[in-house]
Amino acid sequence: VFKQFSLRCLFAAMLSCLVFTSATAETRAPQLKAVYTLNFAKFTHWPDEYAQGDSLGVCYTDQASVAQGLANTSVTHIGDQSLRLRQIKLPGNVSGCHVLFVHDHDPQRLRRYLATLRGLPILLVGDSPDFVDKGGMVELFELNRKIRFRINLGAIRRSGLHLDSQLLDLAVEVLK
Amino acid sequence: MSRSIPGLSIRVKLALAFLGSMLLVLGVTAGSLVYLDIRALEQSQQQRLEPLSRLLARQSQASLVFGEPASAEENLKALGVQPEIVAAFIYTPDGAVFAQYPRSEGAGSGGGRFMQSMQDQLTELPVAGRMSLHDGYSHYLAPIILQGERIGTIHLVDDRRFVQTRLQEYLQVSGLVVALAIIIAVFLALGVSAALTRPILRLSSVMEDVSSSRDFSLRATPSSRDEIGDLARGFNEMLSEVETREQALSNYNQELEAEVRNRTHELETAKTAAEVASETKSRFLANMSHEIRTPLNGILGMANIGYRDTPDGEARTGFSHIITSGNHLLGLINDVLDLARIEAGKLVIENKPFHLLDPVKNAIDLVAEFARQKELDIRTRFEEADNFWVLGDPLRIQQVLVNLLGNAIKFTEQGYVEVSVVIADSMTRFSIRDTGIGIRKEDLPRMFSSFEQADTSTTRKYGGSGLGLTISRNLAELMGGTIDVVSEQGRGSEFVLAVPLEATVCSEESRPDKGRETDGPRLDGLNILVAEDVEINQLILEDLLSVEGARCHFVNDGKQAVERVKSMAGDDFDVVLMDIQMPVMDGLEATRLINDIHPSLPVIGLTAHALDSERQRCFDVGMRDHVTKPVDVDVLVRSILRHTSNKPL
Repeated sequence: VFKQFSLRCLFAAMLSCLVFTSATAETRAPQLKAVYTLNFAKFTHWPDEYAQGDSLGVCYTDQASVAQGLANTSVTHIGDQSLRLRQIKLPGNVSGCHVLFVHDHDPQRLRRYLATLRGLPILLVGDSPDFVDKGGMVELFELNRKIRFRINLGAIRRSGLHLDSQLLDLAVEVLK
Repeated sequence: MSRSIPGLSIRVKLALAFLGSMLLVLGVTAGSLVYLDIRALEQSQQQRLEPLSRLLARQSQASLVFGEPASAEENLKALGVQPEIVAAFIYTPDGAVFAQYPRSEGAGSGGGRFMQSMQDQLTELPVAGRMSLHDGYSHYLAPIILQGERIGTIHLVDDRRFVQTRLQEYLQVSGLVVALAIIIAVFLALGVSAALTRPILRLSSVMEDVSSSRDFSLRATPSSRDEIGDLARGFNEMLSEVETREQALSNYNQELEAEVRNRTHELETAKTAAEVASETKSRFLANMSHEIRTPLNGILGMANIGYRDTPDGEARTGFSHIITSGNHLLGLINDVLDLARIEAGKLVIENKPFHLLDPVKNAIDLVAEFARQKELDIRTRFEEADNFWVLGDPLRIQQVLVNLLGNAIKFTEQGYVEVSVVIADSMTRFSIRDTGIGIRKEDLPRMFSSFEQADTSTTRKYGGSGLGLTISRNLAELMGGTIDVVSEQGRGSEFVLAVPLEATVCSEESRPDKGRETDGPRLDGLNILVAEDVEINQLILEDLLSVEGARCHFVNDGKQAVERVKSMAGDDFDVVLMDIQMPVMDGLEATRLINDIHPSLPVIGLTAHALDSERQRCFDVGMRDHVTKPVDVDVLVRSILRHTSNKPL
C-alpha cells in the first residue's frame, strides 16, 4: 500500500540526506542517533496488543544526549501512527513506550535497568558501550566517523518483538 | 502484369486466386499470432519485472534508510541470475543514484555511458510502477515505500533484445510454416484448379474435336452435377440439335441429289428421245427430198429436153413454165432441207481458197434472167475486190447472195439493184441495195425469223417460203459473220452480209474453167459408163451428155456396172457416173469393187440425197465427186471435166 507524499516524509528524506552528506559525526551525533532510533522503529513489529492504537510511544531516559535530537526531529508519524515523545526516569513507568533510548554511563546501573526491562515488548536502543551485551537490543556506536550498530537478536525475540531481517544485514554484529 | 492476367488460363487464375486467399489468411493469422505473442511477451515481461522490483525495493528499504548502498548493491547482485535484466538502479527520494547494478566499478567507460543513458530514463519520480520502452530496452520504474513513506525509487532495465530474439524466432518459425504452407498450397491449388478445370478442358477438347472433324455425333461427358456439368449437358443438347439439323440437311441434300439424278435421267431420256426424233426427222427429210427430187429430176430433165427440142410456140412456153415451177419447187425443197440441217447443227462450212468475186458473179448470173424479166438493172461496184483470193465457203456465200439478190429483185418494181463488195480489215462486206418497197421499221426485228415476211399480204403478193432470210442469217453466223439491214419504207433496202474471210494466195486449180462453158460440145469424144436404174433418168442423162459430145453406155445396177468394167479392154471408159440407190447392188458397193479393179477410173456419184452425210459416204467408198439430182448440166459437165482433165481429148 503506497501513500501520498507528505511534507513529513519530505522532511525525513531531507534529513536522511543530511546524514549522508554531513560534515562530522561528532557534532551531529545526537541528531543522527535520534534518526537511527526512529528508523529502527520503522523496521520493528510489535506484538499486536502493543501495536494497536494510533500513536507510537518513543521514550528516552533523562540524561540521554539523544533526547535533544529526538526533541528536534520533525518526524511526527511512522506509518499511520503519530509519534509521542516522552522523557522517563529509570526505573520508572515505561507503559506506553514502544521504543526506549537508554543512555547511562554506569555499567552496573545500566545492567540493572535493562534487567528490569527484560521481556517487555519495548525496543531498547542505547549508545553505551557493550549495551547489547548487558541486555540491550540495538547498540549504536561510532566507527570511522559513521554510526554503526550491533543487534541482540535473542533479546529482541525474547521480548516478543520482530525485527526486519534487513537490519541484521546492516548490523556490524548480531547476537543470538 | 495486370494486363497479362486475362491471358492466363483458368487453371492458373484459379490457382492464383486460391493461393492468394490462402496467403492472405496465412499472413493475417501469422501476423496476428506474432503480434499477440509479442504483446503477451511484453505483458509477461511486466509481470516478471513488477514482483522483482517489489522484492528488490523491499530488500533495499533498510539500506536506503540507513544509507548503506553497498548492502543495496549486494541485493541487486541477485539479478545476475536474470540475464535479460541488463541494469538496475535504486535512487534516493531526490533522484540521485543510491545503488546500481552492475556495480559502477564493474562497468568500463562505455559501460558508464550506457548506465548514464539508462539513468536518463528517470524523467520523473514514479508514483506507482510504470513500464516504458526506449531504444530497445524496457524500463520499469517503481517507488520504494516504507511505512507509507517514499524512501526511494527502483529502476530495472530489461533488454528487449530478448524480445527481439523471441520475435526473430517467431518470425523464423512462422516463416518456415508459411513457406511450408505455400508449398502445400501451391500443390493444393494446382490440384484443386486442375480438378476444377479438367472438365472444362475436356469440354473444350470435345469442342475442338467437333469443330475440326465436323463429327456432330461426338458428346461431352458431364462429369459433375455443377455448372460445368450443366455446360457440358447444354453443349451436348446443342450438338444433338446441330446433328439433327445436319442429318435433316444431309437427307434433304440426298433427296435433292436423287431428284437431280432423276431429273437428269429424265432429261437424258428426253434428250435421247429428242435426238432420236431429230434423227428421224432428218432421215425423213432426206428421204422426202430424195423421193421428191427423183420425180422432179425426171420432170425437169424432160421439160428441158422438150424446151430445147421444141420450136417457139405455145408448147415451148409450156415447157418454160414447167421448168420455172420445177426450179421453184426445187429451191423450196433445198431451203427446207438447209434449214433442217442448220437446226440440227449438221451443216458444215467449208474453208477453201476461192476468188472473192466468183460467188458474187455466179449469184448475179443465177438471178440475171429474173432481173431481165422485171427490166431491172443490176449494177456492180467491186473494183477494189477484183482479183482477190480468200479462204471460205464460196457456195454458202453464193447461196446467201442469191437469196438477198432474189429478194431485192422480187420486191423492186423499178429502178435498180446494186451489188458492192468492200474489204474492211478482216471483214468482207457484201452489200445488196435496191430501190424497192422497203421495210417498215416495226417489221425489221421479225425479218430474220423463220417463215416471216414483212407481212402476210407480202406472201400473197410476192410468194416465197419465208425461209430465205432465216437461212441466210444462219449461214452468215455459221461463217462467223452477220447480216444487217438498213431500210426505209418506199425508198428501198440495203442488206449487208459481213463475213470474216482470210486472204490467201491464188490457186488456179480450184478456179472453175469458165471459159469453155458456153462453147459447143464440152465432152466431145468421152466414153461414159452410166449406172442408173430409172429409165427416165437414163433418157435425160443420155440427152444431156450426148449434146455435149459424150458417148453413154447404160447399165441398170451396180453389179452390171462392175461386170462392164471388169470386161472392158484398155480405156473403154473415161469416167463412171454412178447412181447410189439401185437394185441388186447399190452404187457404194459397186464403186468399192470398181476401185479395186481399176483404181484410175474416176467414179462420180449421182444421187437425189442432198445431205452432207450422204456426200461423205460417197467419198468414203472412193468416189471422186458427187453431183445431186436433179442434175444441173453445167455442174455435171464441170465435174466430169475436172476428173478427166488428165486425158487427151
